[in-house]
Amino acid sequence: TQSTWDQGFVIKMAGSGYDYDVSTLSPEGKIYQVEYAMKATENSSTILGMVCKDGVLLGTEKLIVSEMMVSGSDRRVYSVTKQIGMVITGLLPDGRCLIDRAKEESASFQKQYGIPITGKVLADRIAQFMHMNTIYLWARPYGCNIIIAAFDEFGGPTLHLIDPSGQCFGYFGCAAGKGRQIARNEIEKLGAKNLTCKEAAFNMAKILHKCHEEMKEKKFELEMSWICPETGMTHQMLPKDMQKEMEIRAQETLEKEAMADVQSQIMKNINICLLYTSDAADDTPCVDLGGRRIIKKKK
Amino acid sequence: MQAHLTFDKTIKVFSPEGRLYQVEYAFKAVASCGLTAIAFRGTNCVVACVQKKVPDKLIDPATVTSLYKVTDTIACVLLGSPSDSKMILNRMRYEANNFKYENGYDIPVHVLASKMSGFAQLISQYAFYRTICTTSVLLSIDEEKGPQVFKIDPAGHCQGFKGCTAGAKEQEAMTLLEKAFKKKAQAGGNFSTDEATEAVIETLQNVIGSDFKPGDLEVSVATTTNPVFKLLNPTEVEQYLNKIADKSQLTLTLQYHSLTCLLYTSPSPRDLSTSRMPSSA
Repeated sequence: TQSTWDQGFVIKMAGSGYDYDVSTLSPEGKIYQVEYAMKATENSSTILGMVCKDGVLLGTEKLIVSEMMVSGSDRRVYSVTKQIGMVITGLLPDGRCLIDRAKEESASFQKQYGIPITGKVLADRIAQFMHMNTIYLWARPYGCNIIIAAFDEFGGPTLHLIDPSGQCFGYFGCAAGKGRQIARNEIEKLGAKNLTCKEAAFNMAKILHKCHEEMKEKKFELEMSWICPETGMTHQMLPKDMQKEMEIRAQETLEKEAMADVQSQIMKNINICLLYTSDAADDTPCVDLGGRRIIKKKK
Repeated sequence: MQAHLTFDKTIKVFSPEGRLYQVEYAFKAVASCGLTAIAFRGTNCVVACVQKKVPDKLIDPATVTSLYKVTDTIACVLLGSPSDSKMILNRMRYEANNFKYENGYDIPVHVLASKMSGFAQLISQYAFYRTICTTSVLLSIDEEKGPQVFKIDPAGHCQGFKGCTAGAKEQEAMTLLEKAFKKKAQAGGNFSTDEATEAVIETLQNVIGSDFKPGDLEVSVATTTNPVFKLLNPTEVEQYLNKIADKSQLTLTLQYHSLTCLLYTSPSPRDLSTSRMPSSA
């Protein structure tokens, strides 16, 4: 007998009833609620991170919601400990909750073991915490992607990306959010491992501007941070004037590249007119506009 | 499939045929991870071999693994959803350490296996918990019983094996493994560490169907003389892969040379000038 609980639920949509709660698996073995949570992050601000020769970089683009907003508010990049930074995208309140949790984990680790928490351990713990919300009936998954950048004596510079399912890998370079495809391609091409943080920071500004190109009309600002020798291997926001200078340079470079693109397109389109026949052109009285021969009718 | 649509939505509900669909779907989720693992018990050793796939070029390959150590002498292969696997791993480590704390000695692997299968069964019975989509294979050299391999699936079944497989190509791998085992059993049945490792890698390669590079595999071995699990480094894996490649090359060459052209008909013994090949009418 069907339970009364189920009677109203025969709706034909993508998940077809397997997507109402996180504790239900679909016949193919998927958990739709987790996949929908990932969708929540797909259309959000782009975040990215890069491991460089001498440190780690984090960055994000923020759409400015209103002219009345104070520049620099609506923070996305946070310091969790002196040497660990985190950036969030997706449902921002969820993300800020995770940042609080990360701060708690770090504090308790320090208290218990006497040394600062390492990037790998913190990433693992936050991933497990996010995963916990994908098992219970009464909870929903966290709808955010987070990148954790860290530097410690055990692992050196590390970068971890965690998604709503709780999956966590270490990366050399990673991106999430709307512009992740563009960003990932650019990061792969860049080979940040061979650049210093200072050199790579300019490239990061460029990539973030590039990701934003589709929404040129909307105003945005960047938040960038780094852990590098210039900051004594602590997590700091990029100095405001340095960031501004890099952004101007980045915009100019992008404009130049765009012009070069347009020029090469024009060159490709220059074809010789197919109607042109050279001998006809010499014979002026017999050629009409368009190159048609004027044939004199015999009277 | 309208009839069973509502019986498979929650874990606590049996279908009219007496099936627990949510548990069955968890098995499908394990298979969808795309990796296959083989674990084998030799005479004096245990070997585990898992495929390794790094999903993205930008990922640090050192952080991608399905082989973990629960304790120094107990290793486990965890296949399925990566985050579910980490959760099971943490639970295993907790159980192992708690046992040591309470009893003063290392947990025997069959005790750990039965605790974990109890945990899996519990999850499959309560509605507020989702079925955990992970199959675990525990390996160890037990102090009293010698080499042990246990497999725990999402339903909570726990069995000891001489050799077992898990993951996407579980069935095919099992068939091939049984063949290899029978062949050896006829020849005496003793698998040395080298032979066991080679058999496992070869079976996995045959199941997947493509040649492996050392970076596509994770192989872990423990022996009775050295029960601490050791992950083979790429050079050692390459040695086994080369051995297997040479063996298969040899069989291919022999096969090639033993074929005779089917078109050939020997010429008439009296007429040496003509041949009766179709091309020469």
